[in-house]
Amino acid sequence: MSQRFLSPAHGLGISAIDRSRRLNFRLDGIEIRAYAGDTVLSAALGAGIAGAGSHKGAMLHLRPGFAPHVRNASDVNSGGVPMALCPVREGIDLVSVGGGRRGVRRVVARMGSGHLQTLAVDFAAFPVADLADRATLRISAADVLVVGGGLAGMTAALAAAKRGERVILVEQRGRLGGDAPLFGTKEGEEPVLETVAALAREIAERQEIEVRLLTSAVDAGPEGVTTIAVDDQNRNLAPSVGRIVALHIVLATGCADRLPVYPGNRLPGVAGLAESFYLAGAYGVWPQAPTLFSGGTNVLYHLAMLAKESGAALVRLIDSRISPYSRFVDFAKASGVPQQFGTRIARVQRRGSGLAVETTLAVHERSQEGRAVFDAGSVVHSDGWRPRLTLWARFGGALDWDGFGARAIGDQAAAGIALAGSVTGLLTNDGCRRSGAQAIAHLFGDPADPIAENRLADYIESPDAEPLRPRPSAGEPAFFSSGHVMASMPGAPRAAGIAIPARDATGALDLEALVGLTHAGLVPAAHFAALASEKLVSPQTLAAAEPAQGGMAGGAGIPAYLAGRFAEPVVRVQLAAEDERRLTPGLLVFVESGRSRPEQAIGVVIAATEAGGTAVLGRRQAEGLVQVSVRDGARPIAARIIG
Amino acid sequence: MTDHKFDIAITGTSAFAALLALTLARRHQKHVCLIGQLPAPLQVLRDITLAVGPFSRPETLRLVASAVADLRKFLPPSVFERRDVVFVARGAEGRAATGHVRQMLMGMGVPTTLPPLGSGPRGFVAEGILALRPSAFHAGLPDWLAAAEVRVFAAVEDLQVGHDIVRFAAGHDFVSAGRILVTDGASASCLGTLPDGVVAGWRTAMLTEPVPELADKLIVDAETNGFVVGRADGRLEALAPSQKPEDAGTWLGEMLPPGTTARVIARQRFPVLLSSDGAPVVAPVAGKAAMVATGFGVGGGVLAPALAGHLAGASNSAQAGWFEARTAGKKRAAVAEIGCVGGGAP
Repeated sequence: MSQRFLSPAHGLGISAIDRSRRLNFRLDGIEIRAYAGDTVLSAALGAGIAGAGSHKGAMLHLRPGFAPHVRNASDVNSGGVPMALCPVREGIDLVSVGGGRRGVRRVVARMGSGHLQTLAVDFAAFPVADLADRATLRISAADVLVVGGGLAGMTAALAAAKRGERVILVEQRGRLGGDAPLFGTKEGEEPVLETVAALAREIAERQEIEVRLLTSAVDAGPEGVTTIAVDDQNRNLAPSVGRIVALHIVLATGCADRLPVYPGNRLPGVAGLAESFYLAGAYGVWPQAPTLFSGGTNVLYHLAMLAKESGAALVRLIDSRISPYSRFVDFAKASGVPQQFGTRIARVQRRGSGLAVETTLAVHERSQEGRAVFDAGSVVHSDGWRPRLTLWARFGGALDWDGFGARAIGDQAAAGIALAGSVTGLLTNDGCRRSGAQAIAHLFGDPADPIAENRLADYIESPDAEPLRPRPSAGEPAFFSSGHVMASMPGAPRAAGIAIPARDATGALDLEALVGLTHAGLVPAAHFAALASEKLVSPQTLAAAEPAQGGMAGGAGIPAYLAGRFAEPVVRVQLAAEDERRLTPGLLVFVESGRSRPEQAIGVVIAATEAGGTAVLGRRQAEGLVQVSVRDGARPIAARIIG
Repeated sequence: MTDHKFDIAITGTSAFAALLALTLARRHQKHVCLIGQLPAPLQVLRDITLAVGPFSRPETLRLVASAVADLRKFLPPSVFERRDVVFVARGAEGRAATGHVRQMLMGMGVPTTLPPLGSGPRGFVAEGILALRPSAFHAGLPDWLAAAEVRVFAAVEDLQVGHDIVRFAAGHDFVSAGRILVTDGASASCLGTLPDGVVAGWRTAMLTEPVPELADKLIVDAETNGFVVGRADGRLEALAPSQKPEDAGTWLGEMLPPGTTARVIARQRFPVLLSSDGAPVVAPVAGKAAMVATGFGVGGGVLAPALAGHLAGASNSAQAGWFEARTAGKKRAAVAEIGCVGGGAP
């Protein structure tokens, strides 16, 4: 069952695939038809595989931000490579790590005629390996490293190149441009797709710029930025771990879909807005029909309109705002997108091969009035944006909690590093472009004015809705993160005022989960910055090791921790045990065997010797003694002072 | 703007600092405030409190034993648990010292065993040791502090310590206190110069992915009072005696059983004050209405109520003698502990 648009609408952006060239490969034993330019992920989604597997019984969707690694079927020892970074090659035979030969599971619908296809990875047993601390294979150097190939990143790369600097631009997707086309063009502006194409052409012509697509920056620190790509030479898939060392770094990492926290928010068929836009534009991939759009942003209407124009069937678009207004609202209405205001998703459940979407009034969530259930093949939701600030944090950049936007913000400059584009909170294409150039100016010490964005006034375009506040949930998990962290919203407390800890939140946490936990009130906002600093660190794998310290105990002096312990002055004596045993350090020495209280000890063995041991004794107490009692716990050992 | 006056301000929010504040307020009717952020949910452990520690002095072990009995009357039973504690040492001198601690504990009636050779860093197991359950303690702490009218100021500005008064601002509040007791490293700068016997240092708290071999295990590095706490799911919470991540990682690697690996997924370094001889120290700061109390380590937290009594002038003679011997200055006795082997104890 193909999930591809036959003819995507023009506004969906620049295609990354060549529909004239078919490729075939196998994933978990099933044959998948793909196009040249596909990644394994886009091909799997295009073949109708909507699920990645499950975690503790909860089915999980397959998305760019959440997918198992894949490996060659014959390479059983490989940890695999990320699906989203892995180009499809003709005839390759792949399996998902943790799913393997069990193959793609087909959950046959009890209702309806379709079936849900999902990979069979058990993520509780086989969590996806983080590749951030793999050994580096390839080290590169540049004057300027730009992470992110959206408008800000492209502009930054060009601005640096124009200074004659050597630039490396890394982009995790298969094409440049980021999400700018999703936000459309305002009246009087150059069409954004033309802007993106022009910038991409200019970058291609610049010899100073090396572009690395399908390359993900996964870690950062004083030694540089660690990147992951897929090395598929000789058809042996392996992660190509690189480290880029640069004098100046621009983090134009952009924003991702903010995951609205409701039960069932990661079921197969549930998807974010920006990722859906990207998959539709680059690969023609669209989730199962019909689609229900939900959220509180204006660009949600833009995608709904483009999807409809591309042939997608829509259930409707529900908006948590009461009376939003925007050019996109009007365009979508003119395109025949059914709209419903003041409504939000309460929860999503599986129903047959599709989804049952329960909606509620946004302002009276607990009221039964206004509750409705819709059958849908898929949900595309938009709950605003989350700045991608993990790399910033790993560079040591501070994060603060923005209580109004319920999000993290990058605070406090880090040396040699600049943030640019929407990750800084900019909203317009023009602002992001100028931000890229300004970041370079800032890094090279040139004066730069603050960017004043030419945003549309609130009376022309409604502001996006405030992010949905997570509510206690039961049934399907309501996850806080769209990635590999499985923290989820707890159920309602039994008694008012008794906090219940989030589920699965005690291990690794990513920034998205931490934001969700804070927004839900499970982590006090005052602790956000400290917890972000603690949790968003570069992972470090350690192996058990013998202590490096060596040396012998019992040197010439008395150990400091024994100073004043026994009657001063003390003397060192040699002891020989009657049973000829070696006396281990720490054994207490008593005048006679009837004594055992530590306060009654006259000394202590500080080193073992061939004859017995060396002890420190209070000189006055030891005077005249020939025989002593050394005590090993409850057992007295008779010993002689021999020197 | 509101003015608040306290008898004493205590910096730090370890169990030791919190118990000190609670006891001063509840038992001695002092008006107390704490300066510092109480541990957040999900924050990696930064301190543990056990009913024994790596002490080599019999008078300390006796005082700890009596303090534990006192503490059990002070806190609800649900905050206590019993754990087997593995005391280890990495170097030869530390191992000799740890052997001494083992004999001391056995002499006090604490059962100990030796773990099999090759099972990890060398040391001994003290069995059935009473410990504070961090999750239960921290869950109850805000309410106990509120009931005792102990104010917590998470962030303060312009902290000034004078000859006979302490002042700071907290949000819209102006606060003054008769004196300040510093237990942490974050606030040490208010003192200017540290008293003799107290040095600044760092610790690094870490969380790892599960290491099944250490599930439910509790390991204490006797030389540094660093620790590794294995949760039921095998995840480790560790406190390393280091500032740099690589040094903290090396230390943790040395705490692991042979053949195992651990993956650090959360890490935070923070400043601490250490007693240079490894023994608890109560140090007046010359010319200021300030004192430093540190070096109590994993086994000295239970002494907080005793210290509160000492500060309030209500300690018995044994307690008073013990604290006087550990008061910094010319009269400080030779009371060094095993922590001196590892460079000092927090």
